Amino acid sequence: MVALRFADAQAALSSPAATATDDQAVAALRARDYARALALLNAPPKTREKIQRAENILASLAAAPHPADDLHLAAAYYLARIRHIHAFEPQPAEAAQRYERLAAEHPGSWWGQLAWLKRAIMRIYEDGSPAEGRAAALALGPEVQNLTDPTLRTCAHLTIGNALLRLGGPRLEAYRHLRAAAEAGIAMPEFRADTAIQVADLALEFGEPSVAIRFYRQFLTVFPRDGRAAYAEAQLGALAPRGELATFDPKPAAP
Amino acid sequence: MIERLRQIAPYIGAGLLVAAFATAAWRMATLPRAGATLRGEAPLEIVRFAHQELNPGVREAFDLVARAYEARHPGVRVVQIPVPDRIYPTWINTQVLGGTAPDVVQLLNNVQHDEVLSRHYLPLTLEMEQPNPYNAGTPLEGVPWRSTFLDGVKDRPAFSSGLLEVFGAPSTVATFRIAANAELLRTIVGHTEPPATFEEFIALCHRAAEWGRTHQRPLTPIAGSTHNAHIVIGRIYQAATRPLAEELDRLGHYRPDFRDLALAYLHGEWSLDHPAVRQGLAWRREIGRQMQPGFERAERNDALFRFAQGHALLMGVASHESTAVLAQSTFPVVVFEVPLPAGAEAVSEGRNATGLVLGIPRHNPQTARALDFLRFATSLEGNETFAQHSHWLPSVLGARPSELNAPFAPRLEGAPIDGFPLEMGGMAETRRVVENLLYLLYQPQGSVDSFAAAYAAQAPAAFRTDVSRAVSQIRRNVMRLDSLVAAYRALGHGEDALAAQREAMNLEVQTFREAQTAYWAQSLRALASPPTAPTAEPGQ
Repeated sequence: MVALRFADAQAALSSPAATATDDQAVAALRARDYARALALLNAPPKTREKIQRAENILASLAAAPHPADDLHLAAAYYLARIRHIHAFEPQPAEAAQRYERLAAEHPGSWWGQLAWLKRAIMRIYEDGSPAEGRAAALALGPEVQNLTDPTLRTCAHLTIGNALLRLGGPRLEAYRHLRAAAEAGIAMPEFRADTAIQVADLALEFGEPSVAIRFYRQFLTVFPRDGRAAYAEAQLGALAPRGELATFDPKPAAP
Repeated sequence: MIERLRQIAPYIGAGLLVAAFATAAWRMATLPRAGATLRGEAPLEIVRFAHQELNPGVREAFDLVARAYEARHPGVRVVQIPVPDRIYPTWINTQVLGGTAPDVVQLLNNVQHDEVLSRHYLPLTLEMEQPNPYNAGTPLEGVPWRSTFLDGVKDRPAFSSGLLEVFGAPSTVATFRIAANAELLRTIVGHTEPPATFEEFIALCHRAAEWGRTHQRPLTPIAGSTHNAHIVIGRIYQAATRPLAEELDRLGHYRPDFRDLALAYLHGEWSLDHPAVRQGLAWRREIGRQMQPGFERAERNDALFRFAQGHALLMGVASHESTAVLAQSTFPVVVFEVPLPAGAEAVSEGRNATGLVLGIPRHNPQTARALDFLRFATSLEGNETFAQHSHWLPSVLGARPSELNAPFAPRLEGAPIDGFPLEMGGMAETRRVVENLLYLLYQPQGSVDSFAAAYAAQAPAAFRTDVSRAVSQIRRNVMRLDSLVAAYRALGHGEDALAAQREAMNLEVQTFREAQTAYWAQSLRALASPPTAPTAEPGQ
């Protein structure tokens, strides 16, 4: 369990600061400040004063004349998060700018890619109407390939695929994204089950029975007692008379 | 004599108080404690576990599990603390906050919220990934503990999707059936074959009512209560709305969220004029009319008493209530599934929630012993012992239900998606509104039309309230996950596959929940604008 109790964290962080005489000591101090800021963000009870203190700490970390290391980028990311969701009066426009700047200036970094993902969610659901969100989801699709972190790429595919289904976008495009996520691997069992069924049904809809068979089977292997298992079995049974099971190619097709 | 009674009356209360205090003190003094000696032998190690299930058979079954554990571990004593369900939520929270909680306790959905779980309960996620040593020598040997449960421990309160941690191990799974008084059934229709369809079921109810009138015997066709009426009513109503739920399941994974359905209503995608809803309401009224007046407010025991006394022919029963029904009934009972209307497809029970989840308060000194007992209690042997003697369904793969409970065994065949209730599950404000309006549907002078009109007037505001509330609550959770994102990133996971999986799960959950709440908020905003209900575009 990674979650820290705030009291424990605060006690651990309130030890007298070491004198920053070399890079190692400076790094330790920065890490301590970063941890303190994050502890403040979620420390109950949530107050404006705590959020402001966290913001001040993160601002100093992000502004310090250090190379753009992981901690520097993380501080920039959490400054955007404060503006986006943690603040008592969120400032979505400023959050969007901060996400965009981080993603544009550090496209290869993990924090830059996470910022891209958060901005993508904003563009789909927060910037405009459902129709505008649908257009945004379609426009964002090609950018997913720029994400190098596999988990963030999976999250992006799931986000866009589900957005297209929710907002009535092209189902073929939704299918491509969800299938890419399912083939890359989804960690959360609940989402893995949902996506396997979505992809299998969509594959049938778009005339790819071999893909449908693969995902119905995957679903049955991993979730044999799920309430949808009988349905997946029936679907496989219906595909058998058509000869699809006999010609099934176990190799996944490119998304 | 009366004068004398008057003289001593003031002392009766004081006397009772002293007696109660003396009894309580004696009980406390004689409670076994860790370190106490057993017949002068080695000090005892005490494992205390508390739950709120006072149904017949459960305490006895847990006692057997405890004795079996003690037999394997001489010097350990397991003490069971059954607490009435009305006081259990307050009692357990007080005990946990005061640091005096038992070593193993029952977790409940609406009692141990994420914040309470994260602060006061031991996460079992890592332990769940390891095999349960008490399954050695069984077909479950070497299988991760989590995978030995029927549902894979993926539902609250055993698993918190907000915290991404397992906090408990389930002991049972719940299914629902109808119990019939076999003697009455034979008397009324000449046999004990249960009705096969909804139409036959309603005909049977009418015959029972008629028989009661003819024989001047007060007979209610179905004993209903706030607790069990939904077993019959919900099954039938949801059978009617199942095709509509499938139609509204935009994500296409057969698990539409109630908040999505509420928003679909607000955007005019369905209404109470929908034929499926109208049909469902008509059936709902028909069934409600077969229950005793005021059943919506009746307690579980009121219905049970009515059935056990032979004043009702039928009653909805959950699998874990079968012993209570049988113990209190002096006649043979026939158990059968809720018969569906012709053409309706039954829904698979494969996703039914597991229950009687046991967890471990984290601040107790002997969490290792508590964990060991929990492993035993939910091993193949422990869970089968529990199931056989409590007559509750087992939660562990391969554990056999008792013969009595065999008719309750989950049926896996059936449709992947269920209909949805007008109460919309856990949407509190909507549930309150619907419950306050149901009399318009069930009372003799009521009707589907009067209920539908009142629902149309009051439900939209409740939907907005509930969806807005869900957005706020889930966003708070998304905020909490921000700290975990940083922590996982800072710690790194190297070659640790489990840590890598946790980081990935954390990101997936945060991303999904953030997008989901942003969608709900967008959908609410769109209600204030000109209609922008999305329309599906054909695939390319």
